Amino acid sequence: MPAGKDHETAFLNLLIVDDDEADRIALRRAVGKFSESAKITELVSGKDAIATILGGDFDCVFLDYKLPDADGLEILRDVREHDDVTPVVAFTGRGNELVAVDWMKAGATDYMSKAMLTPDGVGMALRYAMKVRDARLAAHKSETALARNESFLRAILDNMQDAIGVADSDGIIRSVNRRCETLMGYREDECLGKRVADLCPGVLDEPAVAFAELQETGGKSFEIEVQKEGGRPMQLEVSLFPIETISETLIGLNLRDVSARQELAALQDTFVSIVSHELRTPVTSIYGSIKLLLAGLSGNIDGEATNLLEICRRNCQRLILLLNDILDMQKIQAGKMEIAPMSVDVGEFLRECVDGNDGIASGEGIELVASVAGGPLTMFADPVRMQQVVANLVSNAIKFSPSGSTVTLRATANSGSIRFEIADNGPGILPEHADVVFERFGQVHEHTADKKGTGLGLPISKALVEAHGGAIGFETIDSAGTVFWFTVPERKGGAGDN
Amino acid sequence: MTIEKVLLVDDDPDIRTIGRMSLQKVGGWSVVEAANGQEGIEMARQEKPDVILMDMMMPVMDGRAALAEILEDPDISRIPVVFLTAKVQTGEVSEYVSYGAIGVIGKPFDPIELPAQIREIVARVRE
Repeated sequence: MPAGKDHETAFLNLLIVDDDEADRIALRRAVGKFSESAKITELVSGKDAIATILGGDFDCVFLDYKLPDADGLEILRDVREHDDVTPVVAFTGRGNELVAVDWMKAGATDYMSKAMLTPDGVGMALRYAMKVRDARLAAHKSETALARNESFLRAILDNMQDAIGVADSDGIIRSVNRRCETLMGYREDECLGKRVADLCPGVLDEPAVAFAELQETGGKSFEIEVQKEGGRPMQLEVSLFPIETISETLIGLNLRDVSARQELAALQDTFVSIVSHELRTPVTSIYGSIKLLLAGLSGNIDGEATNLLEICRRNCQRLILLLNDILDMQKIQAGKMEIAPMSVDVGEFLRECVDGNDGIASGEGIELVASVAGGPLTMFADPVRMQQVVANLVSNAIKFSPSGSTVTLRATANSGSIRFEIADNGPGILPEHADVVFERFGQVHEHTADKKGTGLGLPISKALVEAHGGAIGFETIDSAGTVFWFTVPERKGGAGDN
Repeated sequence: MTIEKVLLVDDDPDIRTIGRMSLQKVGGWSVVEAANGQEGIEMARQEKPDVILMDMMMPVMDGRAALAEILEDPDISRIPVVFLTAKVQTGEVSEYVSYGAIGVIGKPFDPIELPAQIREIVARVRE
């Protein structure tokens, strides 16, 4: 196949195959008028014609119908088996319309009578031949690019860790990648034309329903358990998505083996739960012993010993909080955090919050006050979990408030939700730290040993508030402290807003 | 109901020591002990305590199985049982109560507060 050339200006490489010298001269002369720089090769018989055409990179071949040793039509048919680009103009003195049809069927670009061997006639035939050749070259180029692209995509698809398939709207498989074989145990040829539901039950059992849903939603994901013959049950994450083609909409399938991920999550679950449980028993003994000693139940202890025991008690308490937070965080991550919402009187709730945290506050020389704006309010929330949120926020507020200052708890009704605010007079949070405040271990202040928290309080609070359908955030007032706020629904089914 | 005698069932001897000191010295009660559910049932039959404070996870017989057997025995089925367990999460408390316990106290517990907690649970149930 010849490489592309700009035929109008470039040098033309032509081949004439004709046994009649007069015709060759006439053709040469006509070509000369069309292009001064044409290179013309001439063959007087059909003997080497095929090899010359295929090996010659010609811009155009003029091929005579009747050669002494061969039939021009046969030569053309042979050439076209290997090369469908090189333009071949058939010319003959004995032609008629039927011959012309034969030539075109065999792959001739054009057909001209020897009577047309004028500069104009040849010029016209050459221009047309060049156009046809360029169009064919362009088509070849895009076909090659398409094929390259397809094999590139195919290589990516075949090497993916997920099994990928395409089915029509009836759930019949049109295409699968290689991973389908290792994951599902079916070779490509065993999949094509089969129903997805027969090969992998649970993935696309009702194609019509799924098809309508996919067109509506744009895609869906779910998990199923598959029992492979002789193997362990496999957990599959299935994603279905619509694929729009010019003529139809197909269903794309993505199957991912998530067994390992689930096993790991379950293992982590068990690990954390066992570790925290096993840690709780010795901590109980340590904490209990310290408390009994400090209470003087095993005899009096002097001042210095009391101080040391107080250090033990405080750190043991921190350890307990950390254990609780780790357990909570693990439950949140595993999506197993349970909340038991109920109607709760907000005023009473805040009073309990103050009672529960007053001891810590007064120990730091901080006053804790609470107020409910606008009469009795009710919220629909898990009171224990909400007290945990308030305790986290109040404990932070106390940590960063100067001694002698006040931490204020406020509650207001706010279009279907109750908004709680915990305001302190601390140093505030820098704007650049705003993003990490609710992240795990996202502590933004340098702590002294006794002020160090677990770094889990705020992310747990955020998760708890969001589990109630509420929101949480904070505002720092320049050098006047920070207000942390959160919302919870006022009524069952109500959503907290911001 | 006046509490005079408490049966403490826990497989950890250290926890039993702390529990005993708390119940005796802070609560002013007499204390009998057992190291697992099976021993606990025998001790309950023998000593007829006013309250049973029992761990959940124990060898030989765990707290749940022991409670079920206690509830089956008319001699001791009326003795209130409070679970003392490290496995206290939301949801689990109501689960334990559904087994027939009158309350749950979580570990780590505060030995100075423990008797008051037991009194409160017992009083609440009597209401």
